[in-house]
Amino acid sequence: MQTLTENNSATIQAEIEDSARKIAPAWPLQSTVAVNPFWFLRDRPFYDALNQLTPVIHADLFMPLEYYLDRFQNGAISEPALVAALEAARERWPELPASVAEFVVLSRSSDNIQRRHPTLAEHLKDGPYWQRNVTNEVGRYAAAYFDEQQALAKFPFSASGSGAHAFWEGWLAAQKYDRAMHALGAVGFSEALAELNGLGAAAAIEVMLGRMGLRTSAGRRVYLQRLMASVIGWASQFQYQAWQKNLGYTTQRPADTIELLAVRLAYDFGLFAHARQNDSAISLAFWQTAYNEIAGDSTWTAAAHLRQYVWQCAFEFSYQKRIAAGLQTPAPTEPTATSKPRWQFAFCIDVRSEMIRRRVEEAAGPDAQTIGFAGFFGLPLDYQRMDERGPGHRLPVLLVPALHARECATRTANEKQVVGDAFILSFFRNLRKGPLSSFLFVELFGILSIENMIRNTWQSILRTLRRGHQLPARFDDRHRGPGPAFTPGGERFDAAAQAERARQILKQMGLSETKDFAGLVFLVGHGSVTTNNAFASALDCGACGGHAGDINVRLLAAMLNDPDVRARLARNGLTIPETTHFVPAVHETVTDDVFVLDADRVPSALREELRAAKRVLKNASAQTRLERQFVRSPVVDRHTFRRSRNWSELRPEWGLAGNACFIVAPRERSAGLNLGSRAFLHDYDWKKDDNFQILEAIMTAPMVVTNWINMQYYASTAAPGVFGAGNKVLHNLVNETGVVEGNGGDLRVGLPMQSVHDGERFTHEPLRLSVFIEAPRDAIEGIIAKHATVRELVDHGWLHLIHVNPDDLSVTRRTAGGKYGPV
Amino acid sequence: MRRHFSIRAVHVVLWALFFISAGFFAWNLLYGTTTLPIVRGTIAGLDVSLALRIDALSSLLFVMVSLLGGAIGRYAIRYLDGEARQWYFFQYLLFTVCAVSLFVLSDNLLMLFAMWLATSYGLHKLLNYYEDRPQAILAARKKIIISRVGDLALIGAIVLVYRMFGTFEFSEIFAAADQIAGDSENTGMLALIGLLFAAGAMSKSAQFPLHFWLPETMETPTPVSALMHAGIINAGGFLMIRLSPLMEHAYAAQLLLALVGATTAVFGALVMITQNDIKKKLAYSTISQMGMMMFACGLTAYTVALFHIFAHSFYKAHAFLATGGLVAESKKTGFKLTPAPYFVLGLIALGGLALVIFGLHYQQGAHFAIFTYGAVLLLGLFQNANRSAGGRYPVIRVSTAVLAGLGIAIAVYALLEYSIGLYLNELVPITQTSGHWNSPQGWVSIASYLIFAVGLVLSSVLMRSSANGWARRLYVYFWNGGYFSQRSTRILENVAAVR
Repeated sequence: MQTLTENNSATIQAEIEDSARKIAPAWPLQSTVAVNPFWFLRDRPFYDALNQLTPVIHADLFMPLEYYLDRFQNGAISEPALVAALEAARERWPELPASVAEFVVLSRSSDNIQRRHPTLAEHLKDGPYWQRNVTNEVGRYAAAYFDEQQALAKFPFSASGSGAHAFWEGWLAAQKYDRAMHALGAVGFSEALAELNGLGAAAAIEVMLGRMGLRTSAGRRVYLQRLMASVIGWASQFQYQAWQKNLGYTTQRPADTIELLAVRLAYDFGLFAHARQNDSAISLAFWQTAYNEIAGDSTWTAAAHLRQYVWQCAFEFSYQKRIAAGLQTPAPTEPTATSKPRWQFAFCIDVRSEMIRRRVEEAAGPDAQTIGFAGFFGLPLDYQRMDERGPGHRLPVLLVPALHARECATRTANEKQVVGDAFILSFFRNLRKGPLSSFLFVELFGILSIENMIRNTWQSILRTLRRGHQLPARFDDRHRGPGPAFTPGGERFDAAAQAERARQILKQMGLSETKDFAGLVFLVGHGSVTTNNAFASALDCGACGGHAGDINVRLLAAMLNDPDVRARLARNGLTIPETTHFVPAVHETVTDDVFVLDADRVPSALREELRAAKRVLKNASAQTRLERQFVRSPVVDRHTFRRSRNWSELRPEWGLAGNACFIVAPRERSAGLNLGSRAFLHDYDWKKDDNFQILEAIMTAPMVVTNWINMQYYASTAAPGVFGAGNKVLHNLVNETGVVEGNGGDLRVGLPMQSVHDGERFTHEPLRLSVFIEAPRDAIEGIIAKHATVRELVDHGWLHLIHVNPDDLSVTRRTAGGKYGPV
Repeated sequence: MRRHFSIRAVHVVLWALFFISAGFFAWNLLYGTTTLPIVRGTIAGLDVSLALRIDALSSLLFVMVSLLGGAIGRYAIRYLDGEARQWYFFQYLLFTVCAVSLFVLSDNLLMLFAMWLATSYGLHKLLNYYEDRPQAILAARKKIIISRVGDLALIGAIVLVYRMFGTFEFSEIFAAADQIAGDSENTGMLALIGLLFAAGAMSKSAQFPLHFWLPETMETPTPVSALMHAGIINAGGFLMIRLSPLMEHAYAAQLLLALVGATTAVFGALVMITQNDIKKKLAYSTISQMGMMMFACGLTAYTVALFHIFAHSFYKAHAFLATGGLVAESKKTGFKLTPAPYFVLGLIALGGLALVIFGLHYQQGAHFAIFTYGAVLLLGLFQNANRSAGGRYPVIRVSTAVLAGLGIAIAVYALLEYSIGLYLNELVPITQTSGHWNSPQGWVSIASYLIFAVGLVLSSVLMRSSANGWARRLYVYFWNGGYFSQRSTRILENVAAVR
């Protein structure tokens, strides 16, 4: 009997695992990083994954057809690209028309019929009412469970769980007292739950599914996915806990995503009992049947978004063609290999660096060489500031920290004072937060807010007039600096270890011989200075785990300037010239100022050089500021300096909006080319890469990170209602780590609307990342074959891989299975 | 649609209002209470006049409202940039700020009531900023219903006042009230008028159990919340202070206000500490602070109430507008807030009680209100025990700074309260009490103080998050805000579903 195997426990457990664990994690706002929301779906092709998600998440994951038709009209999508996209798609879907004209006509016809699988709450007579309130309730419980900061009265049910399933058990225990659903009109809700007492989350899910009459595996799978999607934000929070646990961090609370699924299902289950008592037997039967007979309708939905997908590909092909043409044109001023640059500037691969690198090169001519490198500069660092409660993980979230360092006060400051101030402030903050002490606080200190209001208002007026080039407080290098680093084992990160790591880092930066070094080598991290911005960390360096890159570069520069380290490097065959000094710097991305840090450590002989370099940077910054003002949208505050200090500013900068390609090649390939701040640039010369270790590192780390960023922007643009964080104007901080919109509901993850939309149109073009790699094809294929993750991303179309042939600069696009075709 | 010019123009007008208010303020300081008649006429046999009353109370609140209006307007220029309805917001911001300003400047009951309604209308429009958000509409509906209850109470009160005094003018009413108050036959009527006004004020200032609409108004842009929590919600308190010469003769209303205020303050504070999102937390904080303000009115400590309005407005407006900064703030190290041990709480509670009783006897109870209010504040001072959340800290340095900070703040506070008492001078009555604990004031002082003391204990139970069944029941109840929101939502859904 088929139903027997379908309904056995193991099958159901597998369905649960599958549905609950497909959601991508989301990081708290203290250190947000971009996440590919489809990360756990990468084992299937891009189109299939997105198409299958639509009926479950109730949102289209491609742009609407009019969007593409508009682009076609204005030339952003070229006809040859459309031909190519259509041709490629016809290989799999021969039913598509062969002629472009016919396809365009077809695209003008009405939209797809969308199938939407409802939760039971949505299916009931007052569907929107129930769905809204159930989401609210689930969200409230999840928030209470994870809350560490906001509420003074903590959720008293967390402790009751036997550890593994504390959330589920806590929720169940709370139901003994909680009359909320009853007050909302769900009769029989609490009574129905009685049956679940004593069951674990997974077992409870099984029981509930059985009671609700879901008999087929396919139906249950879709239903569970829909449940998960209806609380996708909190699911991401649960998944984040799991992710951190896997990396070996201690998590605040035990959390298993299955528990959230069980809780969400229990609300449907309780409503099922409510609906039965209210005599909606026919309606319930209809709902059950729709799920039980779901298996049959997969064929007609398989092509639901085909037209949009073809357009999407055509859009990406058009872009690739433009970039490819640019890469093939030789740079206007061929950098002369003979003259050595005076300065080198290593920037993060971030798309925002592209513009300033171009401007620095313009301003300095052959005097400057720029390098693109991952912004944590090869130092996976855990950094404890003296007045913060926990360390910041300044490294890509795929990695585990290899170094620990504490912040120390320098000569001009006193650690006691800094820490003391933090405690004094917190005393008065606590006075404000306490239930009765808040009355006292308002009486005694409430009046001080007048000063705050006036100062902030005045600040926003003042900044239109005054331009600030002074070092922002967050990058302070006069009073604070990184102390000595240690390994996780507690051993000193000594000169020998430093030398070894320095060698690797320099090699990956392409500085492997004495002649490669200029006099001043600037290591430029980046960070964004904004005010009153809950999403501030989203504008910081992703490679530094949502922190600014200043500490990593200061630490690395100190290492590389250390004579002891240099001596060891020299013994290993890499002599850094004595006249070379490494200078840390930070690129502030709102105003595009570049601040040189630890300048007092530059030897006096190089001071004049430093001054000259600063002039160049100042020039380049001014040029970049002008260009960036209009590059994404003209609708930003035209007073650049005000943007970073204005407490009412919701669009301080556009972040990584527009990102569309990742170029792994020597800088000569892209030099002089205006890539519009849309390209990640990683310098890479395959001739210097023995065994292609560097290429392997690039394809397994920065390429994955750029895919995460790219897909986050894609999803936040294509489906802002589900994968975007919503409207900042309505944001309401939850637990001080996330946001909901307005009164409550699901936690919102992804990017806020204000980050990708200027009020009239999207400022981000949702293009999948096009990765251009200049290296021998065999090397690329070897790495793809070796790494399953890379293979999945490439083969399943989560990014485009474009091969730039080092010999003749011919450009070919890789399709699934390792075939290459013309771009 | 972007209407830069109109928006800037409104912004300028808002600041112009502020400068006018500053002018009024200075005028009052120099020349004392003045009435600026604007229009006068007769409608249906009633003398109707539109006049601006410039006195210590109105000019100070006008300054407050217009300063908030200007600052919020400034904020919304960038904050709402790119919003389709930015212009809509500015229209109704200006409308509402003007309405509230005229409300506080009213010289008679009719104008006051008209501006009361206008404020309500402006706020309703602002709450409906996102017409497509079901929860925004729901919140606006809840607000409408509560507002209408308050309107009815106010209409009743105004009609009774006119029947009794034959005039709407404040000065005439107050003068007449002083004369007839001695007559015992008028006591009942004055009490009824007082109770109706108090009911109106309670509806406007979110007093328990009419508070439940407020926490649900977060479906509008943050500047609307700032305006509402700082500017509009004080209308009830203002009404009580403005009518204090009349309310003075309505003991029943004062008792009601004190008890309702204390209950609201404690209820709001208890719900506040269980909330996990910042805006709900701020909303319940507003509710509890409004309770505190009403409590002061009920104790006839009108100057204290006025200072509270002023301080709380700016505090709350700033708190709403600055929530984005909390993420950065949350990283900082410092003290962890824990409740003081029970025996300490018991000692403070008894000490406070002693203070209240002492206040009732000291100088025949002439300052009982200050003592009672002070006793409640004292509970707050000793409520928190602070432990380091992580790491060591320089103990001496921190304790010195904290003690000095508190000392200076308390001294400045006392000075400010004293000066605002002088400033308000003749506008609010100085209540003479019978000066014994066994008097209406005595009982109400003790009873309302005990409400706070119970709140102190309950909050401490909640903050310990113990697994005890009783404590858990308490937590779930307050965490759900007493189910007011869910029940009212259900009722409205049954009447007319929001789609």
